[in-house]
This record gives sequence, structure tokens and C-alpha cells, in this order.
Amino acid sequence: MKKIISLTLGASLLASSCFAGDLKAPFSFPTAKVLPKGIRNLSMKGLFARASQRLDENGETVVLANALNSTITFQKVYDSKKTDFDKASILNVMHRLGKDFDDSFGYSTGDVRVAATARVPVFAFGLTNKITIAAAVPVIKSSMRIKTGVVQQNEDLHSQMIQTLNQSGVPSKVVETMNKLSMPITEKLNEYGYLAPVGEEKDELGDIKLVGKYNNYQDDKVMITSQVDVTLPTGKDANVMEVVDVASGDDQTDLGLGVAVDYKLSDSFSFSGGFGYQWQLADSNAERIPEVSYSRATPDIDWNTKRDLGNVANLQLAGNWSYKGFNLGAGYSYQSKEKDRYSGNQFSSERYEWLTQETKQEMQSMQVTAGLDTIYLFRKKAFPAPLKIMFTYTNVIDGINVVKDPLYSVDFNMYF
Amino acid sequence: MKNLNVFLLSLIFISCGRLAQVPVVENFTFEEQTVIPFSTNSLVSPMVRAATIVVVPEREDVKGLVFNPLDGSTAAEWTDLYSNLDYSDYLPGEFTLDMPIDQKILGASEIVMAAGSIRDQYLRNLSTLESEFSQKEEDVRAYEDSAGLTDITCYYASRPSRGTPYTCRFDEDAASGFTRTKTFYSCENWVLFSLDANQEVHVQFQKYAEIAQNCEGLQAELDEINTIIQSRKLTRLSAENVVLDLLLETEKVTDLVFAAKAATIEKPDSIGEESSLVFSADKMSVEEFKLFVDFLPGNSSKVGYAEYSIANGLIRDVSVYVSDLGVKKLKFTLELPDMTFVVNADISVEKMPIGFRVIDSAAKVEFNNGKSRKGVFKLEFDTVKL
Repeated sequence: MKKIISLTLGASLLASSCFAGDLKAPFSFPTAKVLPKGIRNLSMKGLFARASQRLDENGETVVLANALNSTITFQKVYDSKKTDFDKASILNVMHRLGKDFDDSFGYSTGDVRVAATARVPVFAFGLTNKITIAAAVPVIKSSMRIKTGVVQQNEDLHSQMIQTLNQSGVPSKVVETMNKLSMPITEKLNEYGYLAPVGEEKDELGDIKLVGKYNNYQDDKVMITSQVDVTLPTGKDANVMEVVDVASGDDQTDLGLGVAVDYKLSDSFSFSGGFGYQWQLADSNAERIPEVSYSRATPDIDWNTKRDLGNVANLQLAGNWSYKGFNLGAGYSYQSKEKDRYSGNQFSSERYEWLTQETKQEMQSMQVTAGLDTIYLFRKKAFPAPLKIMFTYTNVIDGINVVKDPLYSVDFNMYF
Repeated sequence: MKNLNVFLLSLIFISCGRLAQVPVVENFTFEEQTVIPFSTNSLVSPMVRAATIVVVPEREDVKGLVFNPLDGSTAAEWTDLYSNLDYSDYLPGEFTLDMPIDQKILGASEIVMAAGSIRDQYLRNLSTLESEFSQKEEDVRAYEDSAGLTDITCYYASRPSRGTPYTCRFDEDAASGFTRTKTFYSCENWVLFSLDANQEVHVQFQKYAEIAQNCEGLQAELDEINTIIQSRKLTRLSAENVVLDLLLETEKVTDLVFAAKAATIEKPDSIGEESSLVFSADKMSVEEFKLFVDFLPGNSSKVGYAEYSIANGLIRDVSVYVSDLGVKKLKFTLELPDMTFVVNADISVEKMPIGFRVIDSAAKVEFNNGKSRKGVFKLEFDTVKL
């Protein structure tokens, strides 16, 4: 029922949050390092994440498709009706049966599983000894599977409802109702003009990121570098016609500023920290505008919704140990994203406001990393090229409105 | 370096081919019910038994509606309808200007629906009651035949020569002076007789009293059922009139026509024909379709029954088809003087008293002034055989 049963289908946002405008689990440590003049660096980052759980508004762990698991009540059936006459017909049936808005026919069920892999080639070049520029071009391959169902309950109410409709002498209504009660999500999505919720696999270009780093200060122990970056809208936002979609981008431009500090404790130990702020620039976008506060599923699309995604602040701290090509590290990060803002002229402002629900995000995560490099050997002329490979595990330890599943990454670097 | 490139490329491909896990959900549904199809074996009377042709008001139509139906000339009918609905507390008792528009439009719509549903409900109920009534009449007749009503003779005091002076009064004919001998044939008439005073010691008295008691009981049961039958019939009529009353009041505050009435078996046109619909033998086309329609004395530009039929072109684009949902449907366009009904009705059939019905609860109504509304179009027929 997209809402037959008026169902909340926020899963699309959750799924897309893996790689689009929402908070993402970090997969590397902050670093103040810049490349020496004329040195080029090509790194290939491979990221792998699943999405099956999320942290909700209260920080509780729920399944990704939690919004699909919804009781089917007279209230939701009533809310889903567009015309006064249809609403009155639901009221009339409810009154005739002596029921109230909270009486339930059962509940809809749904599960969404996402696996996404990003390949991110990053090319960096040392313009001067202080300035390094880089470009990251992510290619995102995603696999999404969805299954929906229903658990019918209250057989008496069920049969009374069907009998009442049968007595009305409109078999189409009976068949429609039986379909909606047996396939609530699919039927409602169809009614609301969504594409059928089926699994899909995609391979898409993500948002290209251009980075400039400037080394502000450096001595034997400390290095401070500031960073500016631009994220271009080269990825594809979630399809407004799909209830669950893995987006490779968010169709808008971001500007970022940051500073990173490295502190060398010894030849083997170093600490690094970074603080960044990212402005997500306002734009216009096609959005489904909720009909009710408790559900995102809606037939109404404003193709020109004014959107201002919340800005993001992040803080990262990490410790690294490196000895003769062996590398270990651990880090912590905190990210916070402001609430998104939406407005438009096509529907009431209250409905645009409902779109902003659960868009404020926070994420705390821990990272551990391990890897090898040949820099030590290269300097000793014992290896033909300076290479580095690192494996990272990121675990989301707390947050609100973010995907909870861990992130795995492999980062291969080559300097030439 | 070549090996490094191979390694680099292999890293790119490592990330390929990861699939999401298979989702798992709970699922349980009750056994589905089915609808009775309208088959070629169904025999349906071509004459329309009852018809409903109404336009459903929208918010702007009821915005200016001020109406206190429970305190006016139609109060009895509204009260009758409301007292027969156990959810009448949810329906508006009056319409005022400061009433929230949601409450006003939902209330008006629900009154139309409540009236329709109680008419159907009581039609079914009447059929049951009439069967009960017939059965009870059979019981009374059986009792009359077996209880020896005619064994008790009654003589008039003025004619002592005709027998034992066991005298009765014939209340029905008291003014005539009890001139004739009477014999009790039926329970219905039994109550018309009573004994004169001081005859309780007579040999026939006990038998008389027993029959009197039994007849009274049986007759009371009959009367009780009959009272309910008459009440149900009255409520069905009240329900219809309440809808017409509400729609007529709505017409007063708009420029639209909200209700039409068709000449049917239940409500014939006293001087003309009744409406009819004739299907082909395979029930997949319509051979004849004519409606005799009149309007309320409100906003209609034309009052008085007139024919709207395939023959005169005012019913057109008629087709019978089976929808994607497997429901047989009748589609047609009905051109009335002030509006056009585009009907795409479900055909349903069940045993009498409901019988065969053609219903579109969301017909498109296009008014000549450019406004559009939804309407309810319903025709009912008797079924001879399912």
C-alpha cells in the first residue's frame, strides 16, 4: 500500500545514503601530507559496503527497510485516499463495522538489502612543494534486492470488510481491496506511480571530487595543511520514480574547506587530525512530496522542488604506526550533517517540511587499518617503485539517521 | 611496471560482482474470496427495478450550505434514517456556515453513502422478514386448521331458538344488533369476538380461552414482523428522500444539478414507460437501453420525464467488457440536459432480493458549464435465474 496503505518508504533515502549526499563512513585517515613538486600519485581505492541496518532518529538500530514494516490501519487507509468522497467511503465502512481509526488489518513487511562497491581512482600531482591538486573519479557498482509481503491479522475484520464491500455491488472495489490487503506495498506503489519495486544492479559514475591542498606549515614534528575541494554533480541522484534506489550522487555541487595536522611523535609513530566543513549548495530537484507526516510514499511529485541539503562538519583523529613498510593505524571520526531544507509552490509548506524529517544526521565511527608499502625499500633501491596498499575496516559505533553497516576498503597507491 | 599495471587493474575488478543478500520477509494472507461472475446463464429482468443517479458534491458546493434537516418539514424522514443507523452520531445533524469544511463535505458524502447502504441492507432484511412473515402465516393457518376453531359455535342472545344460550358479541358488527350466527374461522377474526359476562362456566369456555390465547400470540408475532416490514419500507423511502433533500438543498447554493430520478418498477412514471436494459444472449453487448429520467425542481433546465436511450442517441458509446481485474463492466455515456455522465460501471449479480446491479460509484460527470464532478450511477434489476 505506497502507501496503502500508506506506507513510509524512507528506504530509498537510506539506501542512497551509502554514496550520495548523506553522511558516509570514512575510509581513510586525515593527512597533512602533500606531494613534492612534480611527483604524481595514482591511487586506486576500492570500497565495499552493505546496507541492511540503520540507526534511526533516536539512535536505535533498525533494519534498513524499517519503514516498510508498517501496520495497516483504517487511519492509514483513510489518509491514503485522495478525494473527499473516497475518504468518506472509508469512514462509512469503518463506522458501519463499528471500528475506529486504530483498528488494524495486519502489517506490511519488507526487507531491502544493498551491496555497493566503489572503485575510486585518485590522481594527485604536486604542483609545488606546498601545493598538491587531486581528482577522484568514483565508479559505483551497486546491487539492491527488495522483497515485500504482508502479515494479515484480524480475520473477522478482514472478512467483514470484504463482505461490506461485496454488498456494495462493486466487484472492482472488492478485488482492488483484496489485492491491496494481500500485496499492500506493491499495490500502493503502483497506485502512486512508482516503478515496481524490484532488485537491480547498476554501474554508474559517482560525483567527481577535485581537491587542492596547501601546506601552511611544516617542521620536523608538525605539518599543517589546508584543503579546499569541490564535489561535482556527475553522479546520478535517486530516481524519483523508484521507491528504493541506490544513488551514485545527489545532483548538486558541494564546496569543502578543511585543515589537517600531522604530528610526528617518532620515526614510527605519528598522529593526525583533521577538521572539515562542507557546504552543500542549494538547487532545484524533483522530489516526491509526502502526503502525511508519517510516510514518504506519495503520488505527488514536485519536479522543481527547491532543495538545500544540510551542510556537513567532520572531525577525524588517527594514530599511525609505520615501520619498514609495515603500517598499522586506528582512528575515530565524528560527522554531523544539518537538517535538509525543502520548499516549493506546488503543495503546502507543511508537506515540504515533512520531507525534512530524519535528515539531520550524526555519525561516530572507528577505523582500523593495516597495510604494506615499498617506500622504505624503494629509498634503499631495493624495489623498483614506491607502492602502498592499505586495508581499512570502518565500524559505525553511534549516530542518527545513518546506515550502520561496516565499510571495508582497500587503497592501493603508486607514486611516480 | 607491467606487473604493477596488471595488479592495479586486478584491484579494479576485485570490486566487481558483489551481490546484495537475499531479503527475507514475513508473509501470511487469508484465503481470498471471489466475486460471482455475471455469466451467460444468468437470466435478468430487462426492467429497471430501481435507479440512483446522483452527483457527489465537492467542497465548494457545500461551502455555503446552511441546513437544519432535523428541524423542518423533512425532519421525520431524517430522524427515521438517523434512528436506524447505529453510527448516526458520526453524521452531521445540521450544516452551518461556521462548520469546518472537512466535516461538512465528509458528512454530506457519508450521508449519501449511509442512505445507500441502509437501503441495500433493509432490502436484504425485508426479504428475510417477508419470508418469516409467510412462514408465520403458514403456521397460523396450520393452527387454524388443527385447533378446532369451528367447533365452537356462538349464538346470539336474540336468537335463543338456534341453540344453547352461549352468547358472544361480534364487536365488528355491534351496531347491527348481532343479527347473524357467527362461526370462528380464523385467528385474525377471533379477536373480534368476546364472551358476554358470566359465561365463563360454560362448557366451551376453556376451549375458547385456549384458542383465544394461542391466536393472540400467533397474531402478535405476525403483527410484530409486519410492523418491522412496514418500518423497514418506510426507512428505505426515508433514506432516499434524505439524499434528495440534501442534494436539493445543495442545489440551492450552487448552479449545479445534483440528482435525477428514473422511472422504475419501484418508482414508476405514472403516465409513461419504465426504464429498461436488454443484453444480448451472450451478455457481451447491449441490444436496448432506455432510461426515463426526471429532475428535482432545483437547478435543472428541464423538469418532467423524458426518454434517454440508445435509440434517440442520448445514450451512446455503449460497450460491455471484462476489466483487467476480471470484472465485467458496462460502459456508456448518458447525455442529460445539463450534464453528461460517463459511466464505467461494474456488473454484479447475486440472489434476490438484490439481484442484478450496474454500479459506478465514481462516474465522471461533465456539466455543460464546464464544471466536473464525480457521480454515483446505479441500476438494479430482478434476477430470474443465476
